[in-house]
Amino acid sequence: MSRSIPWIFERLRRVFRAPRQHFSVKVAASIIGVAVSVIVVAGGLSLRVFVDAQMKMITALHQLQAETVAAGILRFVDDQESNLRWLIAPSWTSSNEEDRRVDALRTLRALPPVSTLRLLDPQGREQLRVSRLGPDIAGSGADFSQTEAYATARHQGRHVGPVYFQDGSEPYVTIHVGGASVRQGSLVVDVNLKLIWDMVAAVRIGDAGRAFLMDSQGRLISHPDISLVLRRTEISSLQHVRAALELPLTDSKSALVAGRDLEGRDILSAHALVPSLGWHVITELPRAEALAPVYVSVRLSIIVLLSGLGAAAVCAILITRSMIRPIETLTSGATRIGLGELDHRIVISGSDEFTQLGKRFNEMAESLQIERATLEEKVRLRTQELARANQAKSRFLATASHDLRQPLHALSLFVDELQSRPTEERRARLHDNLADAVGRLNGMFDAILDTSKIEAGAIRPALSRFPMAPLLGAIRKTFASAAEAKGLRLEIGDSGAWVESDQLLLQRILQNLVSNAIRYTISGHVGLVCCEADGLLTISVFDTGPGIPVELQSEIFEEFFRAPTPGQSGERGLGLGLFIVESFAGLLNHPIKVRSGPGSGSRFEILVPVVPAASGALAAAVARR
Amino acid sequence: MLVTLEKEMHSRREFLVMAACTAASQSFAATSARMRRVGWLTAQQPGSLTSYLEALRQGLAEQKLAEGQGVEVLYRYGEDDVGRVPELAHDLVTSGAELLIVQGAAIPVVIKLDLPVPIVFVTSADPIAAGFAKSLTQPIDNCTGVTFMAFEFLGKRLEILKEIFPTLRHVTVLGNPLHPGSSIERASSEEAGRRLGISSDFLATPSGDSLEVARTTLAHSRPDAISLLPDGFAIAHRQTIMAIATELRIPVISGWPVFAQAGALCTYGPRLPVIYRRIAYFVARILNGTRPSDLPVERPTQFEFVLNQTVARSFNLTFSRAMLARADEVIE
Repeated sequence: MSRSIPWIFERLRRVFRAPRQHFSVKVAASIIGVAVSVIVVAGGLSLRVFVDAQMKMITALHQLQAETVAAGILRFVDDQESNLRWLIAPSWTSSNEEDRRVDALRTLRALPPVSTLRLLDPQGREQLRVSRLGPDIAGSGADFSQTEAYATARHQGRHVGPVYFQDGSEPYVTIHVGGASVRQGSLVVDVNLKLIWDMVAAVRIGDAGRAFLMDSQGRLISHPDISLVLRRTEISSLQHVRAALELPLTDSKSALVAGRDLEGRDILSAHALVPSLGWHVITELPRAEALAPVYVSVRLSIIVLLSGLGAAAVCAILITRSMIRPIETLTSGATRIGLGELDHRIVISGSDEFTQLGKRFNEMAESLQIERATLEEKVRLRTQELARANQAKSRFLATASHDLRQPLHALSLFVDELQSRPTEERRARLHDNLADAVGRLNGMFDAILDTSKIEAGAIRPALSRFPMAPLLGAIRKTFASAAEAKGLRLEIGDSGAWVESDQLLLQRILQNLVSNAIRYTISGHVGLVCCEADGLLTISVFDTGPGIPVELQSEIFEEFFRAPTPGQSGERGLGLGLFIVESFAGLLNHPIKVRSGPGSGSRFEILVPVVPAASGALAAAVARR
Repeated sequence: MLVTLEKEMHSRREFLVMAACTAASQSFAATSARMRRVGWLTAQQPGSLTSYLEALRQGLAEQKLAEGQGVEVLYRYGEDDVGRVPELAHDLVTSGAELLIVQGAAIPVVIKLDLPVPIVFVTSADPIAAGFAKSLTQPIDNCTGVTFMAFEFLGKRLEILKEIFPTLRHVTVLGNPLHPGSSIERASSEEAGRRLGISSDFLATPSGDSLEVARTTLAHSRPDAISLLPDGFAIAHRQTIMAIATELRIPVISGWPVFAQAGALCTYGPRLPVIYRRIAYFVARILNGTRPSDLPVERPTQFEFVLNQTVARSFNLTFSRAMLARADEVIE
């Protein structure tokens, strides 16, 4: 125990050393506090109850022992009396003198403590005296009748005189035994009280305790150490003896009295009065021995308390450690993760809440790590995209300015030629050429305008129901000359279907598609067919052009994309046609698909919802428009 | 956890208690292994006191001082020569006796030697008159013991003789003058005799040889009875003394049963074995450190009266009812 206490304190000191560990201090302190208060309160109460009970028991035991000795002493005196009384039982007559003498001698022999025996006649005069050591005297006639002892014995049957010391040493008492009837004699005996030593010496009180007998003056009558009696040792100055002598005769029940015995040892003393004799029995038990069980229980309580304290401290340390360790691990792990070490993982063994918390931390770090990686990828892609868009824009600007310069250049040439006064025929051709150049410029600006409108979100589709036929007609008329100029066969199919769409936007879609087809097709044909199925009108625009490689098919709808293979005439669009197509189709919610491959031409399909044909008047109105 | 700890503490305490007990028993064994030496010294012959020494040994055993285990008794006998006593006493002290038990005539001699060891005396005399004590409660320095109160019994014995022989007139007291306090005994005896109307004279028998002289004297004076002073000398020569008395047809009264057994008419005196056992108490107390002067001189409390019926018959005597009522033992 003594070794482990400093150890515990050392542990406590180490646990509580760091100021940041306030939490552990609180936990440990509360555990120890609760344990200690419970133990102290419970231990204190039970100890108090136990000590009270113990003291009561010790007191009762000693009181009982003292009373037992007192009863034994009284019985001794009673025995002497009853062994003597038969001598005076018969009425006193002067004729049986010899019988009385024989009886007296026999009695004297039978009662060793009796040293002298006197027989008195009914008048109180001594008629016979027999003695162990002194002379036997017959008929001395000594008169006892006037003594108080004689009167008391006559009246009450017995009188026990004061204790006296023969030759200053052996304690004696004179007992008068009186007959009840006036015709009976009486007895006076001297009793050597040294012979009751056995009774007192035989009393065992604990291991070192003892009992002794004293008279009402506090003179020792009997003591286990007989030499104290024979020396007439003065004991009435002893505290517990004085207390016993001062006690009222009626008060027999009393608590133990503390004091010091003749040897000066601390003792606890009980006291009992020998009834009718006025003698006192006093027991002495060394205080240490009497209270030994109490001390044992007090010591035991202290040991339990200290053990409890130790156990509480150990528990507190263990609990604190088991809580603080994971918290420390979590804290440092969180700090490292917070500093950017996303690949750091927190390791806490076990299956408690801390382990779960560690796992959550790890999961969080992992998702952060993944998130960061994705973000980086996105940024990279976006950057790439932006770069490409930028490139495309630069390219567009270059091409657009180049492409726009071509008709402008042509226009300036034609204007110059007009100033040189050409022929009529020549002028007519110039006029055509001029119109053509202007038309191309228009087309280019339209595309740019559309694109900027799309990007600005300024286009609102206006849905309506209309027949396809006029639309197809317009396309056929628009592109007939261009196809013819390139030597291509233009096949625009008919359709009587009505569709729900924005007529202008749909027309622009189809125009762009057909225009692209004509632009990139060198020979063969360009076609447009409508095919109705499942409430949808599939409008296909196809050509026999170079086709689009599969890897480029995802890019063709992007802004400023232009096929790497230019048309035969070297004429290239602005790269906005298909972007516009897709944007419009998206606005109209018309799905668009492309099927193509290098050398097998291209086929664009747009799906438009079919509606029932409207009434004639409406149809006519629409057709007119 | 508490329970375990408590258990552990408990077993630890048990262990400590056991260890303490072992240590205590070892130290006890060590003390008891150390034999305490006690000297026994008398001026008499060994044979005279054998049976009483047995009582002393018993007493020592009762006091947990069994001979050969707790205490070793060194016996020294003067063989009837008091002159040898100082030499024997010194011998006992140099032999390592821590205490001397001194009997009879040797007592005043040993006291005069002023030895450095306590003395427990065993005397027939009045210890105050003999100068062994100022009073019963105040023995002289380094000295205490027991007395047989022989002088108190002389009167009582004369009283008994007077009762047996109502015509008794003359009694001779026979005894060893070396016996301490014998003059007091003689005086006491004479006083009692005067009260009873009996004259008494003292016949000194200082040695075994003087008994022949005594025989002649007795044959001439013819006392009605002989009161034999009980002591070691009388025990040693009891057969001779009894033979003389029987031959002269003089009844003998003495103090101890051993004389009744040897042919005395009756004996009255203290129970000697009880007294010799009591000596062991003094030995034990003194060896345990009590100062001898703190132990008062003790007197006998138990007495015995022995009658010899055979001897009575030889004198054509019948013991009265009163005599028989008083007797503790009647030898047939």
